[in-house]
Amino acid sequence: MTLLEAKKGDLLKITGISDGENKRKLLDFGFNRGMVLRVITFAPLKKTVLVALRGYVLALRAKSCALIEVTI
Amino acid sequence: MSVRTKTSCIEPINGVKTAEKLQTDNISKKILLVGNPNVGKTTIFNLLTGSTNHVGNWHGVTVDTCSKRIIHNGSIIEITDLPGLYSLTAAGAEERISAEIILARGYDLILNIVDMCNLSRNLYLTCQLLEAGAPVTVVCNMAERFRLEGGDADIAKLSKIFRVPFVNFNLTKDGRRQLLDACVLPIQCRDGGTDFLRVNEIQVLSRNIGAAAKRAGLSPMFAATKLYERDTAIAEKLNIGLDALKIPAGSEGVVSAKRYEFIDSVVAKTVKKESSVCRNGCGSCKTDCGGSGNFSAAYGESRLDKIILNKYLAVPIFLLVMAAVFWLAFGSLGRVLSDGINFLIDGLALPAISNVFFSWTPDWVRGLITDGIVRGAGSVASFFPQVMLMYLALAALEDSGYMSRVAFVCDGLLEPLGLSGKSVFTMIMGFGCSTAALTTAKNLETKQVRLKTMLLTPYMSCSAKLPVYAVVASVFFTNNFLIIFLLYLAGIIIAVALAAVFNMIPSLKTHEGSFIMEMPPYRKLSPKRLIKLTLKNAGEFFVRVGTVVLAINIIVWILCNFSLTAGYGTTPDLSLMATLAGFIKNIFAPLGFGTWQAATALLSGLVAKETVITTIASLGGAAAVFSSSQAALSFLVFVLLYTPCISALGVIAKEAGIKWAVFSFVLNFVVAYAAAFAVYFIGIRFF
Repeated sequence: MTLLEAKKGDLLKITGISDGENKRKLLDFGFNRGMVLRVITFAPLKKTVLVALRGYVLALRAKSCALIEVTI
Repeated sequence: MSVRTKTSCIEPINGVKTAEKLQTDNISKKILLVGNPNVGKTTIFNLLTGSTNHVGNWHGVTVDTCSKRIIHNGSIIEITDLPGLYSLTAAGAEERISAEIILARGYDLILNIVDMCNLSRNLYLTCQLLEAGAPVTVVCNMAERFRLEGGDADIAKLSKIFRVPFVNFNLTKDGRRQLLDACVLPIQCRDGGTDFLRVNEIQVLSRNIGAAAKRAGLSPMFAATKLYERDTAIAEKLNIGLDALKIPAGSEGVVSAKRYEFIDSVVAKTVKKESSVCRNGCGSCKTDCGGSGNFSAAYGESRLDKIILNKYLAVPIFLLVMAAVFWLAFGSLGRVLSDGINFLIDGLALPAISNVFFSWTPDWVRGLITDGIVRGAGSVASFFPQVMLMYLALAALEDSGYMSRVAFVCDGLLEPLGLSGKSVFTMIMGFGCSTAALTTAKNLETKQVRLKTMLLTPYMSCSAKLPVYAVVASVFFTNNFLIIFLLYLAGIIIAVALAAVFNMIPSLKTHEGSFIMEMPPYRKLSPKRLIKLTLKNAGEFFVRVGTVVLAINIIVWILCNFSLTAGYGTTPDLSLMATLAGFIKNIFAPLGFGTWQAATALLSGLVAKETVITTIASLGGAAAVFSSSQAALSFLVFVLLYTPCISALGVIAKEAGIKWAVFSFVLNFVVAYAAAFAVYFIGIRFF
């Protein structure tokens, strides 16, 4: 599944990043295969997600989330 | 009122260490401050150079480079503060500025500032700087906080592994000296440190493109790595088409994974104990919280986010916070202080000046001083407390980290309008000063979002317009707080409506934007910093009132009180200004304020909005200028919406081009005219 389908509070392992506009940016931010991230919360309207990884917190739009393949 | 970061503000040498000293040891070092956004580069820059550049607790405060020279132990050091960046493959406009400067190699040393609390992501940039073969000294910032949270890192070992100096840094005089000492040390350089990138394809590639890379002044290995990452900027530099290189799919991931693999292994070896504070309950950091929710000191912070970012509460909380800011500035404390200053000017200063100090001077001198200068400048100065409280509140929102939360919360609401959550930064800053706010638009993701944010920010009523509302409304309306509130609201509603219209214009339409924003931790507000900031704003306020506003006042007063035929003492209606403004006053007749006084106020407001009220004050006050409350309200709506001041237009012209500055000029005028006409028409018809 992708990060888009995740629920608030989920602890997820990244299995890969699909090709897309923000791919390299996500890689630069440390979204590597095998990295664990947590979904902190969603913004109102649910389009923007707050995730924590590597000890910092990042806000991402749905479009970027759709690139992030994760498993529980 | 304060322009955020000065563009390439190369300033004269600081400190009075005489000319002969300079001649003897004329060793000039050029140093760049480089690092991720919000790691404290500008704070360090300010400490090193004694500057007061704007800093804040969000990502992308600095949007332009700023250089300053200082003398340390007889060497001239030129220090340049760069906008933050995450990677040398730049994503935004201000990242590109930094990346270009770093790759151009016109410096002696990079001070790479890293946030110890966020080490691995910060070292990612460090790796790339080393790959590029740049001379680097790593400055470990926020080490104090890291230690307090129970973290422990082996700086010496980090230094050994990376083969560049790592220095601990603390924000004191001592820290400043140590850092400057590190700057003037003979520079150690690790050449082309890419041995953590053992990828065969990259090595092959580096041999193939070696000549082209050298021509572009880049190390072949670095250029090959960047090409392998599909960096189009580097490909352009080398004049190589990326398609021709037949780079395998997924290559970006390979390089990034190699870097992080290396970093993770280094961190595992050197960081003995990670911070026990899990900043946001992520559970991915290998700390005691382990995702169990059982974490210590920062628990309160996370709890704060639980409320502030709550699905249902987030927006109401934001509105409440903004309401509180306005109430503080305009409704309660600010108003009392303002009334006090008003009393001092009207009750004490004016009678004293005209009856005592200048009673012996000719009429026109007394008139110029009382009406032209004191009453005019005083009408702005009495709003000094309110403007300062506004700035103070905005600074507090920024420093605490709340502004980034607002950006996150609003992103979903702004996306359908083709704006980004980060647009909120710029727009809220617009309540202080449009010009300062517009310069922050640079860190927005796409050109369209940047442009639209710049076109809409002037609709956030800036603090210089406040005196106009307050003075005019108090003459014509009983509840002027309500009128002021409605005006601010009207500005926001029109901005939203325009955003929707912009999204229908093909050249302005945003394709689904790429909002990625790091969330800063909450920070305690430092009273010292807030006081310093207020003093800085206060200084700028008085300089502005004392120069631009005063000059326009004097010019307007002279034009209004002299005529070509009769000299001084002419009836105002025959004055030079009445003649000049008479040409354009008819334009405003349909809006209800077709008087030359109103036209004069609006004309002077093109230069600086403060002068709208000073002009009205020196032309007899609002009661004399407007014939009815409908006309006054229509005028206020016009002032709220019309053309931004010259310095704001200047920023738009610089960032987006003359064409868009003209567009902004025309658009605001048309919108203001239409809205004021509607208000006047409805007012006359129904009230």
